[in-house]
Amino acid sequence: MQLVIEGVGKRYPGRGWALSSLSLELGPGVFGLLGPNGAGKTTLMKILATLVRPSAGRVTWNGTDLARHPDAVREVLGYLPQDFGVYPQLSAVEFLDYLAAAKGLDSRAARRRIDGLLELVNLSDARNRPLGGFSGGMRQRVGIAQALLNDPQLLIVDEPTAGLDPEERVRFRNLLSELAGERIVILSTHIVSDVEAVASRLVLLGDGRVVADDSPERLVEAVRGRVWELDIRPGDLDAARRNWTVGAALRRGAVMTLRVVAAAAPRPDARPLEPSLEDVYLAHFAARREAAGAGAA
Amino acid sequence: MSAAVASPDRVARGDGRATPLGGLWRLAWPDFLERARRPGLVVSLLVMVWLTNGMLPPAIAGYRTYVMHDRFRPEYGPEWVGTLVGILTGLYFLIFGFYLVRGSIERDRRTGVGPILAAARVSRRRYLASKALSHLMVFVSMLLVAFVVALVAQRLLGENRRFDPLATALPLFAIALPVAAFVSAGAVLFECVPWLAGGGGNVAWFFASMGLLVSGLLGTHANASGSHDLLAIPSVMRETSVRLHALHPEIPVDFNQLSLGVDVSSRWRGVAQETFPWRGLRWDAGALASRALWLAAAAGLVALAALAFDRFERPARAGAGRASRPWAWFARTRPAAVAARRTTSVAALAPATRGLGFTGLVRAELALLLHGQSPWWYAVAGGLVIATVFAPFDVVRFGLLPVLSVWPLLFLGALGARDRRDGTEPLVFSVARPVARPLAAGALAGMLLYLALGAASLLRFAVTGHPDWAAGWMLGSLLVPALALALGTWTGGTRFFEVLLLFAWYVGPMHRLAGLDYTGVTAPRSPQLWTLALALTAALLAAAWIGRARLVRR
Repeated sequence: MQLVIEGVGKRYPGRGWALSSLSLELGPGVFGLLGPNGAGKTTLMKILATLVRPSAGRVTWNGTDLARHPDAVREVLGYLPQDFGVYPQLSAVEFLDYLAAAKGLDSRAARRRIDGLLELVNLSDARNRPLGGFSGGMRQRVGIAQALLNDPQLLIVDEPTAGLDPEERVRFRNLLSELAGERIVILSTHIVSDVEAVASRLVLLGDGRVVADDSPERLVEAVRGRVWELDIRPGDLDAARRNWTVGAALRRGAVMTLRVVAAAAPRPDARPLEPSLEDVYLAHFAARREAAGAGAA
Repeated sequence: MSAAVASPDRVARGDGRATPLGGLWRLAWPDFLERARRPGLVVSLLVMVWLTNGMLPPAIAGYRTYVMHDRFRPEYGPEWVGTLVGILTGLYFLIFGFYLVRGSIERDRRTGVGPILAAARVSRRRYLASKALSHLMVFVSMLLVAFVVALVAQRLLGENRRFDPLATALPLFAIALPVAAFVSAGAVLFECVPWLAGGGGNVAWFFASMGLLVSGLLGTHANASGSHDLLAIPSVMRETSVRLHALHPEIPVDFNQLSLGVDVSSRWRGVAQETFPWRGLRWDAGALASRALWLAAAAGLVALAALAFDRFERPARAGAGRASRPWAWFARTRPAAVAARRTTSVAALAPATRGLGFTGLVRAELALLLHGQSPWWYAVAGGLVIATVFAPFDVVRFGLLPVLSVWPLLFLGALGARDRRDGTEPLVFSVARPVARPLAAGALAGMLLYLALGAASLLRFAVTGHPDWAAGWMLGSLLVPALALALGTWTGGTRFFEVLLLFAWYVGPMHRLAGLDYTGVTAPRSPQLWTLALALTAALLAAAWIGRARLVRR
């Protein structure tokens, strides 16, 4: 089972390249895609889900070119888009049954699987209510269930935890961890803690290119010794942001404690901290943005 | 640049000196820009070029747009060109323009812009007036195109080379602009009244516009003054008739001998239309005031709309969630008994077994089509079908089957438009064979529905030796869903399908015009028409296929 992305680029008329020369080789496991807005994550997801044709390069699934034979991957694909709608007059069961028919699943087997999936995403009690009355989080869970309908070998989930409450987020993370064994799971998100919890490999995308590609542990290790904590006066926050890459800022009375990513101690009294994935994100993206801003100034 | 959030006293609130009209403009202009930057407006303007040119046929053309006593019309001078284009453009706006502009409030509701505006200080009336103004801007852009084309056409036709743009513009705008304002306001009103906001409103407007048109023409025949007619048709008919009578005293002033609108007939072939000079209507203060009355009526409609407007309390129309599901059993989607042991892991899920799937998809498409229809819909449909068993043949052919043919009108359009409307495209486009399979299932579901509605009649036709009628209905059963699929796929909505089918129904089955009788039972069909109907069905299915394939992989 192998998904190979070779030199893929996507150019939108009037908007330039959303992705350029992107190459990745993916086998079974959970892959986290992390990057700021506009980095090209959703475009990449849509290309892999055969919804968008790449302008350059090619994607192969077990050696089959998706541009020529998109059904090769559609047969085994589960896709949860970032934005999707539902048929508001249908209940969750009816909607999933329709999509099962669209995916060519046997009717009886599909109904049993739908029952199980609705339990899995904790929607059994709402199974017969019209989807039009569902909250955003409930619709998202219906989306998760539909992505798993055909027991996909390739599962692509774009911002899957958007709108979920903390309990459902944890439930979904556990679900992804369980799914990871014999399939390829690609997870795109802004929420660093989600990928941290489940991904075995992390790809950082910025401006349509791969900025970093490694295991979360090694990426974290790479920023060890570059994360600091220091105290400032609240009035100095603007100046601090101009001078350093600032992560969390916590106000404690008359003192503000900052988490800063910097190659060397920003001040003599700065205290070194244990790095996290959020620091990796900041080190790659906030620092790049600030450097670009300084260059422009 | 500081990243700090500005304190409230640093947020500029304006000096409060904006005029009411200025504020209205600032709301309407971006709404218009949103439309102007879509390809739809460009298409509408190109259609306007084609229509305007067609409104002014040369004297030797094979069709007429204004005929008096089968021979005459005013010559194409600046006044007549402006008047004729004004009336026919107004007619186009009245019947079809409504469908072009409506939907902007629903768009605000769907995109979430509406609730943001509702949370601001803008009043209902101002918001709705801005929507009507935005509609009006669309119409004005079309009128400007019509004006330019009319000027060019007058020069090219060469019947009267006097160049007087003001004399052309005055009747054109004086006639068509109030119609545009009235239709703009009507579109806003219809969007604010819940039971007129959907397909029911499309049907209601069609009949309302026909009613307005017929009432104006009745005024003409009753020889009333007709000065307040929406399209100013009575005034124009009277003035041109009087002028013709003055030039040809042997020809009486008889409004029954006038024809306005596109008239295609073999009798016009090779016969040149005779023309006479006409200097147009007198646009004095009284005449302009009578036109301004329609602007006041438009303002009244907006005020009425403000009373009905819910200020975005209601969810988007598609999300209203009708609860009635009398045919749910048919979809076989009733839940199985909940398993005694709760599924808590993926490993415990039932396997995803592949099956033939297509019959299931057809069943699901049929269930989706019928989903949410009220018991009344089924009761009337059942009553009509039962009536086709016992009613005399003529009643079945000319009454019951034509009514049954439009009975599913309000939901059949969803066949091709549902996925875009409900935002399910990424889900249904990422499955295997996402083009041909769902299209075939949709077409078959629509066809099954029509065959069920006409089942009793088909049996009677077969038994009594009328295979042509049976075949006609069967072809129509595929033609109509094909039309829904093609138009829905390409336009993303149901409106054009609803209007087109309603128009075809009104002209075809209801007036027994074989060329537009898609039911195939009200008028005898020639072999050429059979070929045309088959070719049209195939072309529509192909168009739907191409359209969906284009959407699936952008």
